[in-house]
Amino acid sequence: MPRLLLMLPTRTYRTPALLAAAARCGVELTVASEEGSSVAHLNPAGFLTLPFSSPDACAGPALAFHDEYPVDAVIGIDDTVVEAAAVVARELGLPHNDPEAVAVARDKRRARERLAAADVPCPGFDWRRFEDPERARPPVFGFPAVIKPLSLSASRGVIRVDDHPGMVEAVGRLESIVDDESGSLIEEGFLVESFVSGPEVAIEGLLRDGQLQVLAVFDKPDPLEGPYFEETIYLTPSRLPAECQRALLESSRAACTALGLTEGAVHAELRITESGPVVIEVNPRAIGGLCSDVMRFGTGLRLEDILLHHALGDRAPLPDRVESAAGVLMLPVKSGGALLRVDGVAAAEAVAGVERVAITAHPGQQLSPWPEGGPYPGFVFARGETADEVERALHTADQELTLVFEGG
Amino acid sequence: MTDDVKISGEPMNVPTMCRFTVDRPLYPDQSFHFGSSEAAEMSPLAKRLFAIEGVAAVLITDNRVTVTKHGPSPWPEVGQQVGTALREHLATGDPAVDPSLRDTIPPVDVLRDRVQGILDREVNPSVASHGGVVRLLDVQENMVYVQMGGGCQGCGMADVTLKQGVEIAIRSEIPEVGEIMDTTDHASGNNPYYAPSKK
Repeated sequence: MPRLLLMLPTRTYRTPALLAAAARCGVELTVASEEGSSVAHLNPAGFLTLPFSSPDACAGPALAFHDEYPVDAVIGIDDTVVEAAAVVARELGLPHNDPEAVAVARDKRRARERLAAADVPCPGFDWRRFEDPERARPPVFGFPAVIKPLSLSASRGVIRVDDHPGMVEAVGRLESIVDDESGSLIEEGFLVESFVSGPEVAIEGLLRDGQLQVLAVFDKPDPLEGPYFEETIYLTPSRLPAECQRALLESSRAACTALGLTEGAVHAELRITESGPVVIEVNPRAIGGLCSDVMRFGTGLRLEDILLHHALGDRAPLPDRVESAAGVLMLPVKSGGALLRVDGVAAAEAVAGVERVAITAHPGQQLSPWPEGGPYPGFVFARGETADEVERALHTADQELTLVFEGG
Repeated sequence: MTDDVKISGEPMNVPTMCRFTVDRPLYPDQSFHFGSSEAAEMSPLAKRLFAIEGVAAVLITDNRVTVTKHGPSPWPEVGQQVGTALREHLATGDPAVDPSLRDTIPPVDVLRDRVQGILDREVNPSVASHGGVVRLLDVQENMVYVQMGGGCQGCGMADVTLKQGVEIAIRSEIPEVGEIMDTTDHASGNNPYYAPSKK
């Protein structure tokens, strides 16, 4: 039976989905995390500790483990792990992305430089250090602009600025966010981008031997015009015309090629303008949070099944996404504080089309509205005949749910 | 009458295990775990399941069968064979487990003490380092009910701790144990050691 090395940060939302997929794949499983399991001594083949934040340092322990328990496939989940997974897979002689390409893709500044050099349409950009006395100077491409950290995900720290005073204030706020974020090792500066107006979409794809295959195109129906960019609803299938979707795919392919990505999951975000798609970012990982649960393929396969089969070397044609419309709502955080409870879950689950409500924040957990952001408090999943129907269900469920904070 | 038997398969968090639920009782309100084909001599159903290549352990509980397999055959293939074996067994009208086999199960008090001993000796001193605890709530017949608390409750790695660690420790020492049920309300955990938060 093949052994799968599943590289999981301890704080990921995805553990149950991935363990279940590993079960369906029928593999021996080793879970690698950045911190040791307290019960590792009970099952030495089942656990491994790797220093994810130092990808090259993962190679030695992984090779030593491989000598005792041979590993047949490696998969890395979440932004913080993908580079280490690429290093480990390379060292074990398994299919992998070039670790350098992964590092570039994770760094918004270097990724922009690569995309621009390859003539892939992306926003105009400039990079500045926080200690630069002129850090808030107006960008050469003018306002409106967007400032963003180099590596935080989920639109945390991303702020639209419309004028110079706004820029001064926003840069100070971004600096505080970055200072508070332990573990963000490449945040010595920030990116200033031209604001690209237009609908935003996400593309979930799988790279196989350098060829990008689209698994789903998601519309983001709630306007993302700023000043902050908290994500809310993802809907699939996309309601965009087929021609537009083809253009999105071509832009995503060009971006992957420019970045040098060749294997595994891809989550790309693009905006649609009058002159065509503009690539906002391309991540060498799957969709975040619990959102993958919105997708079904073939006879009911999950995204995790597809990714694990790919890691195990399966190159059979990918199954089609299940036809019905589906969507997920990431519960918005409208005010912050220590979460006391979430009211209205039963009412939200009773909304026609809503499949389930998953509350992922725990009582007492500190939540912050965007742009500071942080953990999602929960997710709502819905299915229906049409994307319109699903969107209505998600909005109705959202109205039923209330985050109640201590003292509030 | 077994043609219309409905069986659904559900993967477990341990990749080698899959649970099959049948639309009618197999072993009503009782549970028995078989860790080897030799141990299955007194279970007509378990004997059929062990005849499937790769099946390494069988847990029969009420209307559910949890199969542990080793070997290269994928679950969809093994699952089909399990379904066939279940239908063939139901067609015979035989009991899933010979009633006299229950006489071999240690008394509940003994099982409780042994499981508690493993938790006290092997598990809780370890999970205490993460502020966690695994409590034995109850033993009924040979079914074990546990609850995770402290840092384990709501922890992002709780599933891994229970299935890859605690269950393996209990089963390796007490193969007579049937199902191990986690009764924890993880959503109410207010101090999980690893609170899910990253993309």
